[in-house]
Parts: sequence; structure tokens; C-alpha cells
Amino acid sequence: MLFTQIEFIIFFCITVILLLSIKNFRVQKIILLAGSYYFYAYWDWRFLGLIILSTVVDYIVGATLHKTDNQKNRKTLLCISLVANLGLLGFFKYCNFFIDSAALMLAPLGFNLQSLNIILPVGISFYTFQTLSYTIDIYRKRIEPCHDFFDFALFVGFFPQLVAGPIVRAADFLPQLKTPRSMSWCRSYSGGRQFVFGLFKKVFIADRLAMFVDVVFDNAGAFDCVTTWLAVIAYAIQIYCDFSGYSDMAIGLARTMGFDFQANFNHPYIATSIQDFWRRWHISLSSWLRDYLYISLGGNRKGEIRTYINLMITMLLGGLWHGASWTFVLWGGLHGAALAVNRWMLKNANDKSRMMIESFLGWFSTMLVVLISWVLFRSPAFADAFLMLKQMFAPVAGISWIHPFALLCLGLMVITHICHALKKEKWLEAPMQAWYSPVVIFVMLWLVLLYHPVGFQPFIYFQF
Amino acid sequence: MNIVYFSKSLPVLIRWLFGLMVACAIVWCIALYCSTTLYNWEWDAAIGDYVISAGTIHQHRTEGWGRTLVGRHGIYAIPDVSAVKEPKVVFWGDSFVQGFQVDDDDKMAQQFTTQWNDKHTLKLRGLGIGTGERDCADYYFLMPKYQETLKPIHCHVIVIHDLADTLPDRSTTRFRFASKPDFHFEIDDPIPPIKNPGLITLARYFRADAFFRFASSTKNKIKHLRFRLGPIEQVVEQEQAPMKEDAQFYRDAWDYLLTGLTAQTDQPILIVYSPAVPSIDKGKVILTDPNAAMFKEFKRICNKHGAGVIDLTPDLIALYESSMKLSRGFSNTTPLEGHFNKEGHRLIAEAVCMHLEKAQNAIHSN
Repeated sequence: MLFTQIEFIIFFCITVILLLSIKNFRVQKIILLAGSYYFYAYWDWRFLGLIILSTVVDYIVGATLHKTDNQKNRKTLLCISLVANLGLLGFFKYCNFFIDSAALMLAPLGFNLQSLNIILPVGISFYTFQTLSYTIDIYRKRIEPCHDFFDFALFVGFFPQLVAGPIVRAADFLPQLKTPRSMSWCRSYSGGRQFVFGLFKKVFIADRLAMFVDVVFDNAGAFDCVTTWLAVIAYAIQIYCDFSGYSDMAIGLARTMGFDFQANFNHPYIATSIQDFWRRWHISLSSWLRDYLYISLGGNRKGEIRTYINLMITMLLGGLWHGASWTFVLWGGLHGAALAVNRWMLKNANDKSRMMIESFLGWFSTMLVVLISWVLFRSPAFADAFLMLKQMFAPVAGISWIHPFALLCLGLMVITHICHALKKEKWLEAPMQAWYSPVVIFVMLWLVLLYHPVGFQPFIYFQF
Repeated sequence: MNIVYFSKSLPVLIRWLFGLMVACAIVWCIALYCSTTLYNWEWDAAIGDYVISAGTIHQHRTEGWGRTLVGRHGIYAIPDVSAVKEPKVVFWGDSFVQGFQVDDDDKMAQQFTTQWNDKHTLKLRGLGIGTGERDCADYYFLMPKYQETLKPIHCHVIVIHDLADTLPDRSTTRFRFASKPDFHFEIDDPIPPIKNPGLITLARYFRADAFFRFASSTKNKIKHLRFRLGPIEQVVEQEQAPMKEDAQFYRDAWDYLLTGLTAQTDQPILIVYSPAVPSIDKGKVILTDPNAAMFKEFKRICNKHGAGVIDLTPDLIALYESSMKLSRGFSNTTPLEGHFNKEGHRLIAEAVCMHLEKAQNAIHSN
């Protein structure tokens, strides 16, 4: 079920009415859990078993870990959780990737390996990371285990964030299940507003941009230099609006029901360094990778060289998390290398304060790296990515196509980011008491309803 | 959950109602400029078919950015064709001749008029008769009807962008070219009624075209709501049956078609073939027409029946190779796909001009 479907709106309204009409908090939580499982099973009921399996394993492991002081037993329990969760993820998401890669290498030796017919369960990458963070936090004695199975199941399966994040930490969410949630007009307004903003970004901007971006990327090399650059920039806007739009909708829905999620994006395209970019882009994933992978590898505690290696490993695996393809691995590698260079430059800089021109150069170089890396991220294969990059930097003649909507979106993006950078964005946020806020919200809704593109447009991050 | 109700709900309600009204007004203004308008149909007794209501000004935004005035008898850019006294060059076709995507002045018939009259003392007037989904069966039936209305006619130009439009058993309108039991032309009766004429008129009156379209699509979506659990069975849309690889069948069909078409009029018929060339496939620009061999045969049969044929393929390729310009596609849709743009209309107008000049010169030299 997509947040943009009429079915979802009906489902959500029924859920909210039930929550409002039932006073018992435990019953409310059970309704939310049942609703979340229905939400997931609406796509494919057969894969509900995977979520329940993951929930049961981590609930038992978490409870047992808490009771055990023996370090060896604790490690064994942690390994059970890792193997179960990463095993499922590995099988469903990466099995064919490894088979295809092995097939390529073994083909000259006469081996012929066949891919398996595996469906990727929606959201598996997200809920796997969520349950893993719970077990690792208990292992690290940072949180207490959850004693109520239904609460834990709701943490794993809560529908707003189930299929595409944000990746919610147990330490943030489980405490919210201990006290009854408040559903006030103020929270409903705030949540509803964020949902509409997200809907606008996803349906009005991202889905319409897709019509331009898809054609240029699917025909890499056929378009001229300016068109190719515009398509790459448009893709940067599309993926930002698509994913941050989904996050906004998820955060808004949760807030309406009384739950709080951390922000997942913070104007990433004003970042003045790649490190800054990752503090603003997909924050729940980057902080997860930092806390559970980079720090587990030793972080920056094992010397300079090892720090760079850890950065690279973290980003390469982060790239692989996004998709089972070598283009994603290279995307991660590019970001890892940029982070390493960024770290080296910061270490060798004499003066930590930055002049205006340095900030601009930092922003420019960051955007260049980000845009080049988006080419790898979006292209179906290296050959296509190479053709796109060739047209960007060593162009030959091609078809010119300056899509007016891409220019409009670029303008909108520049204005909103500049307003944020200058801290003049309050008026854009449609505050509750402002007279114009209902106008802004209804205009956005009308534009979405009247100008949504025809056809099914899934969220980009669903495939991850 | 603790429910905290807003205590001063009335001012809030008024503010939100006011907001809704202002938002509707803003979006209505945006839609005035950015939305494709609706149009209504009316029965034209002289033509024996539905035509778009005379006087309609259609604004097209989903592909291209054009404005079209629909005149009497569904003829574009000319309010009242009976006032036109010059001999007419009638452009027949489907939505490609309709040319909603470009402004009236840029449509092939109007470009032809300008180009021709700039150079010749014999004044001619081009006019376009095109409606989406039409094919050669429609021209067969409509040609005699229009002929009476449009006198004097200099010649008929049939614009074909897909050879499938010349084959039997493919019609989607009331007028059919059928192959079974033998080749024949037929008309479907009874005449189908027009859908929602009152509502469309109302929506047009208030310029609420976008809102009407939204209501229709929502109604359709509500009809197809699904609440049962997945997975859902993927419905694979059936593609149109591929063209039969039967050269003799094509030859017989075209022979019958051309016999019929030429019998319907005393005026010369000129066929302009403008295939989807160049096309694009996975980044490669393809400069050949996959139906070139078929077209060669079609051309031979046309010539046999005395119909002139213009193959626009070399002009389309030359346009692309010399200037990277394309005859199809717009900045707001995919290049190389969809309907003719201004360049495409211009190429056809030029080609028809040149052909008629040659024909005229040949008459004079004889």
C-alpha cells in the first residue's frame, strides 16, 4: 500500500478513528500492530512471516542477552541475531547478485550459473537494520530489552516507517510505547502539514521529474551535454524529493497518531563538505552506519590509515545496502573516498574557520561529487554511467531537451535551500497560527490532485 | 490516547474554510493557463459524424503548448469554412493532422497556405480535418460528405504516420475497413451517444476543466479500490495484434483501399508518409524506417491508382542530421515520440507545396 493511494487514506482514517474511539492504550497498540501487518500484507501476505520471524528472533535474543553476563554466550546470541537478520537480507536481496557476479567470473571456465527467481520483500533492508540496532544496543548495554512482545512487534512493524524508513532506533521508539500518546489538534496539524509537504514533493515534483530523468538515463549518450547535466541535476532533485517526501509523510503520519520520529533529511544540497552532506542526507541510515558499522570496525580509534579504511568499508557496504549491484558499490566507494579526502584535508587545514569563498568551493566540490555519484546510483550498468559521464565532461553532439518543469524544480530547490541557509524559511513552513497556512496547504493538495502524473510511480527507495 | 480538543474551533474553522476558498481560486487561475481544456462533440448532419463543437477554443498542455480554434464541421483554425472562396487543399489525418499540440498558425494546413500564397498567384487555402483514432476508412466515408461542403477542392492530402492506418480490421471508430469475408467498408450503427455533454459544457463554462478531469479520474479510481491482501495478479495488457507478414494480403488490401478512395473523389489524392524516423532505442538514434519495404509496395500501388505519394523519410533524416532538430516531440514530452511539432508540420507543408508546384509546372509545360 502506498501513502499516495486512496486505499491508504481510507485505511489511515479508519485507524485514526479507532484510536480516537478506544481509550485503552494497550488495545490501541494492538490495533496499530494489526493495522501495520495489514498494511504490509496488502502488498504480499506471504512475506509477513519474515517480519514476524525477525521480530520473534530479536525479541528472544534481546531478552536472553539481558539475562546473560557470560561474554561468550552474549557474543553467541548476538551472532544468532546477526546471522538470522543478515541471512534473510542476504538471501532475498543479494543472492542473485552474487550468483550473477560468480557467473560472470566462471563463464570463461565453462560454468553456467542460473539466477534464482526471488522476490525482494519490500522494506526488508529497513526493518532488518531496525531490529539489528535493538539487539546491538542491548549487547552494548545501552538499552533495556522490551518486555512486552506486542510493543516490540509494533516497534518493528509500525506502518509509517515499515517499508522505506526512516530507520527508527529502539531507544527512541520503545519509550514512546510506555505512556499513552497524545492526539491534539496541534500535533494533527503539524503531522498533516508534514504529510502534505511530503506528498507534494513526491507526487508533484519527483514523479513528474521522473518522466524527464528516466528517458535521458535510459538513453545514455543520445542527449547533448546541457541536457545530460540537466537530467543529472533533475535526478538529484527527484531522489531527494522522492525519499525525503516519503520520510516527511511517514513522520507526519506518526506524529498525527502521537509518535515522534527523528528528521531524516536536512537540506542536503547546501552541504559544504561531503561529511556535512552525510549529516543531512538520510540521517537515520548514516547515523546507523556510523554507530553500528564504522564504530564497530574501530572508527577513528585505531590510527589514521585504519580510519580511512574503516570509512571506505562503511561506505562500500552502505552502497551495497542500497542495491544489489556493482554500481551501488562504486557509488558507496566514491563517497567513502570523498569522505577520506575530506577528513585528510580537515586534519591538515591550519585554520578551521572558513572564509566565504572556501565555503563556496566546498559546496561546489561537494555537489560535483554528489552529482557524479548520482550518475552511478541511477544508471542500470557501468556502460550507461560511463556514457552519461562522457556526455557531461567530454560531450559530443546530441539531442537537446531542456525540460521546462526541470528548470522550474531547480528554481524551487534553489529558493528553498537559500532560504534555509539564510535562516529565512519560517514562512515556508506554514506555521499553525499564520493566516496563509491553510492556503499553502490546500494549494499544495490541489496541485497534487490535479497534476499528478498518470500511471503507477513507486517510491525509489522501495527497491532498497 | 489523550485527545486535546481545540477550544476555539470556530475561528479556526473559518480560517480553514477561507484558506480552502482562496486555494481553489489560486489553483483555478493556474489551471486556466496550465491545463488542457475539455471539448464537447456535436452531431453534424452535413458530415454525418460527430465533430468538435464549432467555436471551441482548445488549449492543449499535456503535450506541447498549443491553442486551437475549432470552426464549423470540425475544421481547425478557420471559423466558417463557407466564407473561404479559394480552392482548398484538404489535409486528412488523425490527431497528427489535428495538431492540438501546436498553435493554429503552426499547423501544417496553415503553414501550407502561407508558404504557397507567398509564392503563387493562384491562391489556395489549406485546411486540416483530423481527429484522433481516425484512419483510411474514415477518409473513405467522410471525403464525399466534406466534398459537398468544401467546394471548390484543389486536392486531398492524406497524412499517414503509421502504415497500420491503411490496413483492414484495425479501425477504432464507427467507420471500418474490414477484410472478412471479403474486403469491404462498413459503418457501425447505431450512432453512439456522447458522454456527459451537460457536465462538460458546465465545466467549460466555469473553466473548471482540470477539476472535472480530477473528478472523473477519482470516480474511476473509486470503482477499482482494492482492500484484499496481496499479491495481486498482474494483468498483462494485450498488445495490438502484430501486422501479418503476408505481402499478398497487404497488396490486396491496399489495392481495394485505393480503388475505393480514388472512386470517392474527382480531385487528385496525394499521400504523405511521415514515419517515426529518427527513433531512439537505448541511447541509439535509429535513422531507418522498419516499414520501408512495406511502404515501397504501398507506394507502388498508390501510383498504380494515380495517387501521388511523398515519402518524408529523407527530409526527416536530413532535418536531424543537419540541425539535430526533430519532427516529433516537445519540450514537455519525450523527444522523437508523440505528435508532430512545429518542425514536423512545416516539413509536411513544404513537401506538399513542392509537390503541387511540380504538378503545376508539369501542366504548364504540357
